[in-house]
Amino acid sequence: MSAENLRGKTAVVGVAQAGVGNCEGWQPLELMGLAVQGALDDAGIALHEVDGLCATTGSHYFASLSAAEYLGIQPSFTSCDMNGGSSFMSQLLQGVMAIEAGLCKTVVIAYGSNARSNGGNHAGLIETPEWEQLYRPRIPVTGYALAAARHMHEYGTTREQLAEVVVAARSWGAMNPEAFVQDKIDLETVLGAKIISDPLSVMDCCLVTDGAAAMVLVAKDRAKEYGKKAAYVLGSSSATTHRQIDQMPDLTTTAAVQSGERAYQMAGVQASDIDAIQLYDAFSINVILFLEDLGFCAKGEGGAFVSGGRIAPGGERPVNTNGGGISCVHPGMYGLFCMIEAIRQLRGECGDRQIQSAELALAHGNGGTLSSQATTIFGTEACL
Amino acid sequence: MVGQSINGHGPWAEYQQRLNAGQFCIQQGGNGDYFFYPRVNVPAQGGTDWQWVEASGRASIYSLSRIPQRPERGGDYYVAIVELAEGPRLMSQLRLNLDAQPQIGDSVLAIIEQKEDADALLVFQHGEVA
Repeated sequence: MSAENLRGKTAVVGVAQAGVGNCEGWQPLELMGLAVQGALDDAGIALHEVDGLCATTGSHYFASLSAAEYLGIQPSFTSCDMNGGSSFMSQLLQGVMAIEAGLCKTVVIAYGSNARSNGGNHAGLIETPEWEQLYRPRIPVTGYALAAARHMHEYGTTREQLAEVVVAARSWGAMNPEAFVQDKIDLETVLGAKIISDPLSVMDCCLVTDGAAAMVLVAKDRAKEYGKKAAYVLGSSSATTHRQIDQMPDLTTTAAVQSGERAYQMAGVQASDIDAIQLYDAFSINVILFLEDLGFCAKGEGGAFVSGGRIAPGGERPVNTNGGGISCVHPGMYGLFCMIEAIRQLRGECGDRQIQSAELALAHGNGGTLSSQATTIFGTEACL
Repeated sequence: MVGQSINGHGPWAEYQQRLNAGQFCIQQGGNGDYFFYPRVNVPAQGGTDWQWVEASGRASIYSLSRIPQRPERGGDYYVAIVELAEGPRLMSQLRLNLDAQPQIGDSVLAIIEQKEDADALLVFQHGEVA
């Protein structure tokens, strides 16, 4: 057995988002419930068929138990795998394995959060490691600022290049009716923004929104029965190097190198084959790091890669077409939204921001403080 | 009740006790490598064969971030990851001479700040290193 045996064995047949914005008066499980029903409707699957559940919120330790009870189902497979914002990519791989092993047939992966309307109260998500909290870093911004500072020191990356990531995200957001922020912005405005933890400003940070998302995963042989257009799971892998930022082996190279290599190998593709790139942009530096670590450019060249609007609408290499966590949605954890945009690109549902003839999409998740990296590659039926 | 209770205290408390007594100690595994923060297990190597050693206190700035803060709340401060001469890295805060502009690569020296009603804090002085 090898990981390649899982290639193309399962497919996502339904996706939905709900409450991307400010939903005062709504609880995380309520928002999640809307997204789950939306994803089931999208697939054309009834709730009683769901026998696998991976649920996450920012406020439930036993989220899959709470969600199963809320939905009124008794799944035979559950997972609450928690690696931060990349948890959903990990859960997807577990769902793939559970279906392939015959533990269940229909897995729902779901997230719900009221991080914005609840006043930014998602305490579990900003758990500060014991050692670091003594020194009052601004969690989680300072961890990413330290990585950015080191990247600038080693490779000459500039704040202007970081700002290019933000400008691109905002330009994509302006083309996405679902995005929370739909105003374009220019480089000068980004560069003039207030510093939170040098070299990162408030504009380098993702949004804090409310929002929920869900997707439905089934075996390949059932994929055509359901849904508009199945997105097959071709490759998936997770990797971790540390929990606290001071334990990261190299602040300029993330575990995306490992997760990416393994996901590409499982899928039998390489970076240059990918049509749609969705990267977990909790902060602007993430996009530069992940473009390098996932092989879209060489180490140290990420800043140049994003410059001149190359990842923005009309650029050679579109990245984060929904606007990402910076412009579209970031309710504490973004991984599921990142995968949904990848799938929507393969389904050709992205309107003005659609990448023509997208057959292969990569969704890369990040968790903790660059701690967990998880890469998932989806493909259309033509890629099987 | 006794059961399988373990006497004494773990490495973290031992580290802090030594720091409170004015000594900055790190651990050295049986393979000679140093590690920090305090742990029961030798990282990556496995096993619990390690000893406490007093650190030299010499370090350099691996990365840093200036965090703006209003003057009435103490003003800006610097959070850094420092690399000890012995190898391990750790997060800390820098203490600066007036008008100093710390940079990545600069030398720093460990200092222990004793507190009246709290545990001692390990920080690093910038700009006074021989």
